[in-house]
Amino acid sequence: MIKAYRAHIKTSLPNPRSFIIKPKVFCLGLDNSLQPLEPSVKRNISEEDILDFDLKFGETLLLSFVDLASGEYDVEVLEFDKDNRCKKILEIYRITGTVNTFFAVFHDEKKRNKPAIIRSLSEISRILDKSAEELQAFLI
Amino acid sequence: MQAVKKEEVKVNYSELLDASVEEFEKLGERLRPFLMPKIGEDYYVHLKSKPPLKEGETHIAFTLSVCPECKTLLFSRIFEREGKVWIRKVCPRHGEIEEVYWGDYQLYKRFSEWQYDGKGISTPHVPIAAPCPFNCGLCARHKSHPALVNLVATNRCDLSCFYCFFYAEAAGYVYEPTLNHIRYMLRQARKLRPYPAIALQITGGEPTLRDDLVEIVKIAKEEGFTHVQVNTTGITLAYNPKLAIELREAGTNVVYMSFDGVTPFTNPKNHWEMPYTLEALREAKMPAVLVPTLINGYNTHEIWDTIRFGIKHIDIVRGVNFQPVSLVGRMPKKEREKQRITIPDTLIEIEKQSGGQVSREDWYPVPTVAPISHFVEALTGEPKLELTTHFACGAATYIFLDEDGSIIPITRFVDVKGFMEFLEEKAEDLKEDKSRARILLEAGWNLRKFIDTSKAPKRLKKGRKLVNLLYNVLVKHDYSSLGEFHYNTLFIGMMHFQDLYNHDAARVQRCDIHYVTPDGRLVPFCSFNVLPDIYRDRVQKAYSISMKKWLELKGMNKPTIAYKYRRNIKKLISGEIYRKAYEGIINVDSIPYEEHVKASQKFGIPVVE
Repeated sequence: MIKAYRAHIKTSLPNPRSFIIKPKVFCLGLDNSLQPLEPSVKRNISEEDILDFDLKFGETLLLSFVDLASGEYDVEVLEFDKDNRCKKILEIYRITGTVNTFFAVFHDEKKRNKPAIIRSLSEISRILDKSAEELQAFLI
Repeated sequence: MQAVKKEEVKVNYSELLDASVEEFEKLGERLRPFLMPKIGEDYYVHLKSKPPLKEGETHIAFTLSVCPECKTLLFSRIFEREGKVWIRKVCPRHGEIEEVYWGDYQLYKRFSEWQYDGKGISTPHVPIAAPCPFNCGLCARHKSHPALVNLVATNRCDLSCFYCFFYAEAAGYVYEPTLNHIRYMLRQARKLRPYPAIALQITGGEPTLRDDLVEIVKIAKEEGFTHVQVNTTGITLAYNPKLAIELREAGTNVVYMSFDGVTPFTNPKNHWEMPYTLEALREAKMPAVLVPTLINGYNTHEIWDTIRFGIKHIDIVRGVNFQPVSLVGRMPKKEREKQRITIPDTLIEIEKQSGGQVSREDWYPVPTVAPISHFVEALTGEPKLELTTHFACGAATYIFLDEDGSIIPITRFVDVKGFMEFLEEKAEDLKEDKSRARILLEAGWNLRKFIDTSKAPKRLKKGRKLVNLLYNVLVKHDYSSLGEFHYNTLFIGMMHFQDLYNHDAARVQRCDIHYVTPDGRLVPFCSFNVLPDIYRDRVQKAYSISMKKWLELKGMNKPTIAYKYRRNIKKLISGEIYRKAYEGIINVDSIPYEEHVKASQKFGIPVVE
């Protein structure tokens, strides 16, 4: 199961910051097609999600559950079932607020290794074998 | 997160005495996962409810903290009540725990305006595998790079202070890494990016008990540490001034010394030896920083006298760095209320005791200086050391001793707020690729706006001396004129290390004082010492040697693990050096000899004649 996060976060002291986190999750099929995935479950964040949340946002945004806890947050956890028809699953996060950025998390279903976090659009294009233009169409 | 069975990890250290740096590296990588805290054994998580806000309280923020009894990770509320800042947590098993977080809300508000977070660690030594603060090593969540790395060179100590459980006999083992092991540990600290550690503190136990301490300093320099300080009681140096010279020649920059007050009653640790230690440091041209630990009602009445002692020895004492007590271990609430003193309490006490010579407004939190790093970084394009601790962790100021003996805090002639805001703005301009030449010109022109020369110490009044100095440092990176700035200047600072009662994970995540552990991790100070059973003690025990084996290896058969200090008070107080060192601070003749002896013995240091 893969978790993605949709969130509105306003951290408080010591460092007030705000984040709107919007995810899109795609399946890279065996035929190289890129299809959006729909979550099987939508729920609020709980203590079971801390590690996964910190793994995704700790390194990329220096945002962890400790920051989240400081202020106000509305975090929806989207759960996606693993699908044998996907050779890779891709979470793309667009972040707005105190920082404006995006990053992607790759799950290579064949390799079963730790999800890789990629921050460069060209690197995402390379992994997916899609042109930047094609990718933009998905990101919008 | 699943519970994992606890297994004690232990290496046979006596077989590693000749091991290479590479062998220690391999061992560290292999052992590290086994030494990390384990859920269900070392800690628990309960984040289902938040502590309530009660009548008369104003909410400030939430954070995460741990239960002092069972180390369950809990939501905690920081709030204001009756002018103070408090922290409250509710453990499902141990109930509500409430503690003073900061003794003055107004100062808390002012300090909170100065938070700058760091860029994090791009080369973490441990993966994210547990919630903060049970994953220290450092991981990718950590926000600050190390400003100072502590290396525990030994857990042996020549004292047996009544409150200490750290020294070898109390711990039951000797922890003393070999030189190759130390080199490995230092390399681990230097590997950190975006900014490798450059400042090292060699600590203990008592590091001067190691015969090869000078070698350790040399290794630190070889590995790229530009600042090396030795944390000691100074007692060894009082009797062995040659060691101070050797340490200085090897590259030691400063000696960091415990000094809890000016009388034998507040400072039974090294009151009698300190004058001789300072004399040895003078000979060695080695600067010193005095480090008083403050316990409310015990030595807090001597805070200003301690600063005065520093000023009296300003030729060799560069700073006084107070540490409001960290109430380690479990302590009943009444006892905590009695002993607790926080940073603002100390600032207010200094204002009172100094008659306003140094006021609470003269102090700034540590991250205040971050804009200097941002500006220089934007100018040079190279990462710079940033001091980005939590604003509540520390405070600092500089005081200048003027020719007429008056004391002038730096804030009386430098508009710190305006200056830092200006630098931050210019750093942003530089990042936005605005004309570099124009910005530098503007910086040079505007620096004068932040300095009121009429209020500066006399020696800095002439011409544009101060403006030129700042320009040289910030723009030209020419530090040669800093010596004049530091002449007759005393840094006064304070760092309030946490304990289980006021513990705040947001502070831990921003900590920039780390310990390098024998398995190659870097652990924030307030995890290493606040959760000692899962950090400090576990890892040091794993790499330790039994007391019996250590004595065998050293060819000793004494009941004690090392030489234990016995003090000859009669001899020490009869020396002219002793009398002169305290002249004008205390009346040494007013203390009967028997009182001296009692103070030393009560503390745990035997007296001989």
